[in-house]
Amino acid sequence: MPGDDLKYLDWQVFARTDRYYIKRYEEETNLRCYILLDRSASMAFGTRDVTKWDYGCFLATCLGYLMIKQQDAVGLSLFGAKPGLVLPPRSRVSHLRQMIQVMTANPPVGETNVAASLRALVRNLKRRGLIVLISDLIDDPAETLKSIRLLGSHGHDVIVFQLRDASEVEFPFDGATVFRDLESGEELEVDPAAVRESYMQNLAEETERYRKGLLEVGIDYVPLNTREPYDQAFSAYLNRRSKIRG
Amino acid sequence: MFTLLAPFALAAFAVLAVPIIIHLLKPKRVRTMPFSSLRWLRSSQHKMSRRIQWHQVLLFLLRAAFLSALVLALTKPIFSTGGKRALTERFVILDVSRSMNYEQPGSDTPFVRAKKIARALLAEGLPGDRATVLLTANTSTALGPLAEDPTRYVARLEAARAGLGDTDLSSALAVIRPMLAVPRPNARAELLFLTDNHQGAWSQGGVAAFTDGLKMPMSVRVIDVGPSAPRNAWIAEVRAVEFDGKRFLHARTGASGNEPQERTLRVGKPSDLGGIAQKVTIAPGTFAEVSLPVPADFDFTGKIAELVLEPRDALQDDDVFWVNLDARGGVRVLLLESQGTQIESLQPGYHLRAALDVLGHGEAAAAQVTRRTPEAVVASDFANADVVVMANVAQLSDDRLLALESRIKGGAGLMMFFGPAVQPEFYNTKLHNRQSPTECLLPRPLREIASGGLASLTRIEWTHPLLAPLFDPTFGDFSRVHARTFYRFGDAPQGDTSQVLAWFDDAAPALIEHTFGAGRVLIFNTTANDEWSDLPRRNCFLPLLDQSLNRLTRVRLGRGFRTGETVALALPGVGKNATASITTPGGRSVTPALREFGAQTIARLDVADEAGVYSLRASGEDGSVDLSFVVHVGRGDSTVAKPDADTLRSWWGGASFEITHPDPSASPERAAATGRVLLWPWLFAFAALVLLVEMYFVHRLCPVMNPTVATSTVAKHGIMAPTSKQEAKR
Repeated sequence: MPGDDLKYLDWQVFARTDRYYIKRYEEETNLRCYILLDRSASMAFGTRDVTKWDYGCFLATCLGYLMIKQQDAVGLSLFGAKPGLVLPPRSRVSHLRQMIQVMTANPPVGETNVAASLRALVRNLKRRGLIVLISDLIDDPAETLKSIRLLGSHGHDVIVFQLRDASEVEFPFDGATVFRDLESGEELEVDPAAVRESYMQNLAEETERYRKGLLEVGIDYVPLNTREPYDQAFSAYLNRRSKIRG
Repeated sequence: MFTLLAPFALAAFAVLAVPIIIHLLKPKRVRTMPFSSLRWLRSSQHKMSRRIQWHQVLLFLLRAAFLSALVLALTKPIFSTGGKRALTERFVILDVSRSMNYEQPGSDTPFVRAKKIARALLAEGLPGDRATVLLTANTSTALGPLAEDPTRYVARLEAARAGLGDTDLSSALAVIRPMLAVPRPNARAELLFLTDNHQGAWSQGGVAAFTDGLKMPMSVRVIDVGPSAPRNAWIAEVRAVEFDGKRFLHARTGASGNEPQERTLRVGKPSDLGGIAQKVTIAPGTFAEVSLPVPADFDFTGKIAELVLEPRDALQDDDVFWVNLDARGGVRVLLLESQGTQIESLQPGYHLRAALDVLGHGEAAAAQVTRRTPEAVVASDFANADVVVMANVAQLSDDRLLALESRIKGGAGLMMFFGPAVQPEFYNTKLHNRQSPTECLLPRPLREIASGGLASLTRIEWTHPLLAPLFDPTFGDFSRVHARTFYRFGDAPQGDTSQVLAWFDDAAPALIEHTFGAGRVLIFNTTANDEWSDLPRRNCFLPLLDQSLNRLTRVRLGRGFRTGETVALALPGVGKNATASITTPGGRSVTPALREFGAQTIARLDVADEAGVYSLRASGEDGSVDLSFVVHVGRGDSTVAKPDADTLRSWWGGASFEITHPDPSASPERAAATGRVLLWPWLFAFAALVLLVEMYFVHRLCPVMNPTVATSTVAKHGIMAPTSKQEAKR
């Protein structure tokens, strides 16, 4: 048809039939998905029998299973202070087991440097796809936001799941307490009742900053409480995938 | 000012070291909590540290305050107003008289309230103070000496009961005065009367005798626990009289209160007279007289009538009266006087006769005076006399003296006046027995006659029932009696139980009361006329004579005694080796003490503590006898009207005096308030409050409710562990 790009013209068919055919095709693997899971020490925090790391692992596994069942290729990358182990995307069922082994064998450790890790990772992602970032995002918000935006600017679709333990959200502590930072080991004596208000305010401000900063560049931001079920995460993922397919 | 009742408890302040050690020496134990990030906490670190430090200081202060309050409470601090404190000798005088049983619907009797307040008063003592409790009715009994820990009297206080006696608060003063004989330096006396405070409770003479010469400062507080508007009616007296050939039971009824009271006077017993009744309206402050006619054919012999005032009121014991119907008529007085002159006004018994004549006309039961000379009197005269008066009697023949002694032993009274005709030798040999002063009419021997100057009355026993009504510093003139002549007496022999009621210039007894058998003797150390003294011309002579006759004849007039009194009865015709038994109105059987005075046997019951008709049965070698006698409650407590506070205050002179009327609903501690505030209950409450606040802070500052940190499930069981288990089950 007039206006069609000649690069899609199937010249071999034209040679045999002297008619113009335009090539139109679909990829065999529907989607290439990268799950980036934060394995910094802060992810080891949790109450009520579930740490953020546990929650992230379960979430990653469930998403991986879902993706493979949909013929999508899923890869896994663990990151902490620096880029960690990377599994390239595959759509085989055995690949899921491999993912699980990797997560099980690499518990959280060390400090977080989300920005640096993401910058390093983005250089290794050759093909565009869906990036699912699972992290508590405990780092400098400005740098973190910048690095996540960098993922989007490389043509990836990005979903950010920010994990928080219920006690981080509600700060239900009582009585004079020495809090020990899981990443740095620093200790601080605090009267929780006295600081609860400012803590909650800081938390809300940071959440809002991430939400605004990510949504304005088209990145989905889903804060998750480890006490809540995974349906919110799945819903966000499926919603984003349908947009990509549409 | 503040005073500590238990200052040794201050040693417990050492426990204050505990919080100091905890807070200063022992390192703080604060729970460490792993947390994902300190980013949002770090911004407030400085502020938080200061806050925690402040909390720690506050916690320390709270704990120190709690312990301090506890220790201070244990020291039993008291705040008392009134500046510098003097040592206090506290006397809690608890009225246990009949009127304290005044029944009030819906509330405690005055006695129950008084006991509670007394208990609170005993608990209020300060270090160095001493206190004791006196139970007071007709007489007073101290529960013990002044003690620094008077709470030891609480048990006996609890056991005390209000009896049937009249109130004589002055009797307590007579007990207290010797306790203050040697006052401690810088000590003051505090008299706390717990009483219903009615008019008859006080004796001005008793108060004056107490305050006279008392050096130490004193405060008197009357805690009036009685009803605010009491009312009562009572039967004052009943006599069987004959008039114009008809017979009556003549009763006098009295009332106290704000308005006239309408009652019915009814004869309850004997049943033959059961239908006799008459309505009576009794105005307060007056006596209403009622004459109940008795059938002419009714035999009075050996009968005791019971009269009841209906309906009964709050004080029921005085609404009933028993009268011995055998004892009719007035007081029979046998006057023995020598006939020295025909001029009547100069005769020894002139003033006495005139006074008896006045008394006889003033009462329904007249005094019937029989006048005899010592030479003309016969044995039957003595037998028919209730009171024998000897006025300037020189001597008596042996048979007459025997008849006189027999009559007095049997319960009659004797008034003995001296004079120039008296022969001391006769009195000292025939009437006095130095070996047995209780078994003779004259307990002390006569010595020489003193004359020349004017002797005044001194050391008057104003608390004695005979003289108490005569005390009146304004109008009373008994204390102004002077004598030109009087007898000096010898020393009281060993075993003498007589009581000197007044003295002439501390040199000789002026008035002596003496008990002889069942009778009583009053010895006036003067003449019955104005030859030796001005007593017969004094205003007090007539009431003194009236009081004397009443005191000497109470036994005969219906064989009536008062509750709490000693009962002494002659047992005629039983002879020697007698035995006797008395049945009380309540049916109790008691054995009286028996004593023989020559041929006369006297039964003696030390305390008659029930009101009503008693039966006595006695038998001896010569035969047996059955007789009845009655014991009444005194009528002194029947007048329940309140005395004038200003008058009472004036009686107490310079002493601090106040009357309080505690609210019946107030706590005993509040009613007992003596300007002292007990602080330790408040301190205990404060300590409890501080403890609550401390617990609140501990709860806030201690991490008792923090969530527990989880360990990784993935690290423990792996991601697929639950699935693996399920597969294994399959």
